[in-house]
Amino acid sequence: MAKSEKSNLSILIVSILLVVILFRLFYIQVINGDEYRKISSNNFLKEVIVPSPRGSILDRFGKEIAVSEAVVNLYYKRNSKDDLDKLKKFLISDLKIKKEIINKTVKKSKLSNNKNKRFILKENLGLKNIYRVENKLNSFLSLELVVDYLRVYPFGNVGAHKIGYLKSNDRRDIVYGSFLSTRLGASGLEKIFDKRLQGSNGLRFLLVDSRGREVLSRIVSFDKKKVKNKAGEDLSLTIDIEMEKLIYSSFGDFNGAAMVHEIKTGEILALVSKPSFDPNKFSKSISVPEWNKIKEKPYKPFLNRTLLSSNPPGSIIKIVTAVAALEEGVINESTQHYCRGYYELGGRKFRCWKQRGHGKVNVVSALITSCDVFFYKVGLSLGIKNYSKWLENFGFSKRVTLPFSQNRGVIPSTDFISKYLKGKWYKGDMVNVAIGQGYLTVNTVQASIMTSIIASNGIYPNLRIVPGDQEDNRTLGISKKNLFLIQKGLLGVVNDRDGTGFHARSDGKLAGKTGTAQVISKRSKDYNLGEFKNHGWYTSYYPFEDPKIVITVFVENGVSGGRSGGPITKNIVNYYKKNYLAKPGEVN
Amino acid sequence: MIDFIRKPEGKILIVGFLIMFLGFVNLIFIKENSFLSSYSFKQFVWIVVAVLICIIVTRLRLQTIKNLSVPFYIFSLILLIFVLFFGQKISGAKSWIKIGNFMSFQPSELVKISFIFVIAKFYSELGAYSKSYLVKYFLGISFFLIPFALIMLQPDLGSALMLLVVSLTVIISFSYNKKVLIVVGILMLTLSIPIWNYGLKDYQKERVISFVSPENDPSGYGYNVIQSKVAIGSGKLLGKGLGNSSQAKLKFLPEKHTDFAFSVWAEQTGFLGSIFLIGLYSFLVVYSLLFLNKIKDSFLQVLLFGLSSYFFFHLLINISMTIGLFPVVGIPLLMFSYGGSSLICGAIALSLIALVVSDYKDVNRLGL
Repeated sequence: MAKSEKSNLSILIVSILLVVILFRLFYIQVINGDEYRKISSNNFLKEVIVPSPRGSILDRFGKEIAVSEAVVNLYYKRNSKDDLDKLKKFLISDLKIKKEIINKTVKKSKLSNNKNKRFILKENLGLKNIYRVENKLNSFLSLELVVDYLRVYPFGNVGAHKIGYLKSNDRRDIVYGSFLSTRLGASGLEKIFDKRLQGSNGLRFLLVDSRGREVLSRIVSFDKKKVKNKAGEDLSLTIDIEMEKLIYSSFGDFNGAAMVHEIKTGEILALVSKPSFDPNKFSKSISVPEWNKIKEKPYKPFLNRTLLSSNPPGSIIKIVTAVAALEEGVINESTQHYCRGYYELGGRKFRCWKQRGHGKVNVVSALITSCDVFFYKVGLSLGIKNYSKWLENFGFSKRVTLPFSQNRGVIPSTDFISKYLKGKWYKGDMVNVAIGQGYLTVNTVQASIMTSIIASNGIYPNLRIVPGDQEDNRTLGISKKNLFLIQKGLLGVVNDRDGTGFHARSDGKLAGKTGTAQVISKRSKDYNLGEFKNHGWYTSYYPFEDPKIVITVFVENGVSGGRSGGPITKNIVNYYKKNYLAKPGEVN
Repeated sequence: MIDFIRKPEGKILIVGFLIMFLGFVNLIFIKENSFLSSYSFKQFVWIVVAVLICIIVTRLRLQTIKNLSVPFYIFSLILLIFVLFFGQKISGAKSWIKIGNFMSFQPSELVKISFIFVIAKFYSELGAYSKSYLVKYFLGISFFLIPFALIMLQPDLGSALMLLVVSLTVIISFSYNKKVLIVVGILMLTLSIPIWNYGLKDYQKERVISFVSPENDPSGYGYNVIQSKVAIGSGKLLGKGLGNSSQAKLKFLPEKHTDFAFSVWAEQTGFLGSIFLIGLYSFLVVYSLLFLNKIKDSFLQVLLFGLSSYFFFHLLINISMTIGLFPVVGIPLLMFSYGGSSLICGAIALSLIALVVSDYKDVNRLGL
């Protein structure tokens, strides 16, 4: 290319591009100038929030445990052109809004820095009221309807502890104040999976005039400029909410905790704590008196008894005592002890729960009849070191792999003894912990893990509440022979003539262990439940030949595990048979 | 004075200073609380520095400048590497070197000029119109790719794009060959796919998407352009008058000091004011290009061509941005927008153009 050509060509290109720009400027500033001037002086852009729903929490069958329901709220934004008296009349007589609320709102909106703010007049307008307001929107410019999402928990109290509830979000919208849909998870899964469940609000830009009404402009279509709102992701759980509902009602007047899980997968079907609270109450801002009412309820409704309440296991721990003794070679299947109804140690009598005594017992019959004396003796020959090693093997005093806060409980390990008992450990302490009293506390989930290990021939379960990848299961390495003895004992507990767990007996396929934890507390007196109402445990698995689920029930002040936990367990088994094991067409 | 105006370099410098002055006036009328802590005060300091630079540069010998090309290029590369490690992060990009508490500098601005230097130097050594276009493409693209990659690492999309446009214009203009042009074109197209997928940050993609289709505008970048258009359009023919920029005052306009400074100007001075400002820039560009025919030395040719395209593309892209013809990529209007780095680099480019057009006949001063 010749030199002069280059210079001319580049000047040509430059000129063409400049002319394009000038034409565009001419078009904007001169041809459409009036229109733009109008927009810039009289009108302004309004951002309209488009709230988005929080993701649902679903149970294993897709049933909704927590959902976001669209609600329409009525907002007020001061507009001097409205006839205030007429407006008030409409609000009071047609919408039944209290006069004080209206006056307060109007007063607030008159403050200078509240010029563009909206104030909520009424939440969750019904369909009728929405129609009423819509007809008036043109005559009352200060009224505005905005869609929002209210969190609804259809099952209310059932399983509320692990699902959690919402709390207000500090990040308030400048124009609308707080939205229900932007509330944050305050506890449980709502909190743990808050990020995933939260949606993001959308924005829409409107061109509005000084009266706050939308203006259509031929130059700019503002409606196109919007930020899409994004709904939160759903969260599916392994929970069977109908089973939880059944468990919750089966507790009757009792309080306590229950857990059901699948042995093979570790999936938790039910995790129930009673008494509970209604999470729906926290989906809106809650008034102070209402909050106090909830807070002051007896029996601590917010305490998650499945994980945060650690109690002496009572006789259910005899499972571990027996496994430890068999595995450590302290006893074998034919070892027998004689129970006279008590065991004398250093001049002190340690009683068996059965005053007349059980006579000659071996490990299987001791489990079936829950003979204390047998386990006193076994415990003594086992020794605390071996015993606490096995307690630890079974996961006691350790965190369980669930994402909730928990009370790990204590076991009389060497550390514990030296730290809290000045290193002193007496034989009396040993016989006590061997039957699950004394320095030994466990929570419901830990008890379920213990039973799961027995039922699955020594495999430590990978508990989960949100379906996920299957991890490798850890095996405890208990010999098949010994496991069989324990299993035989547990089957007898429910089904033998002398079994303590007969309250749950039905088809002969349930195996389990009862336990009664002694509590001598002032509190039980306060509650008018008598002085020595003990806590009851009932932990079991079903069905015996091909174990599928573990059921653990803990009943506070339930007198005995068999009597209070048995019927609940029986209900669960029946539910499971009907809904999981029944073949299509077969009626149980 | 009249003598000075008659001289080519005088015309160039006076137009340049006028642009700086108008930019300063524009800043003053974006209302600020206190002058001493305001943008206008900082800009005033930068303008003083810029004028000093102009005085110094116009007194240099062209030979000195030619000799300094390579060191200057290497120096700006070092600054680019430095900023990656020790730079300050402002709005998502690590592209600023802090100078004291008061001011900061953007090395990516400097590299746009130093690239023109180094390319001019090597192309002149090869002969501006020699047939060795393959070597030229290779040299040009390698000189360009290093700083381009460094700027993308910051990441500063605007500067990277500007470097790309200016470099390609210079490279293609001085190593013109149809076959190579087609190959380069295909290469660019194929490279753009991985760059889009891996090289661009999400917010950068959003900007491009928001330009191409405003309906898919996840972060509301299209909103900026609407506000800018409302500001410019509401200026009408004669403008609202200085100090009456309602859009800017009400904080409707984002980046009103930098990327959207033109919108504020257009709102206050209308179509006539816009034409005047664009006219000043056009004069700079076209007037310099006119000298291309007269210049014999190929170093000066490439330098002059590069510098005028440097001015032209800033003008073109910045204004296209404000009127919705181009995505908002963060390119200032040279010497008019607020900002020391672009002002200083603009001043360097301006004074070099002045130097070239004043001395192009003086072969001795170039030492040839």
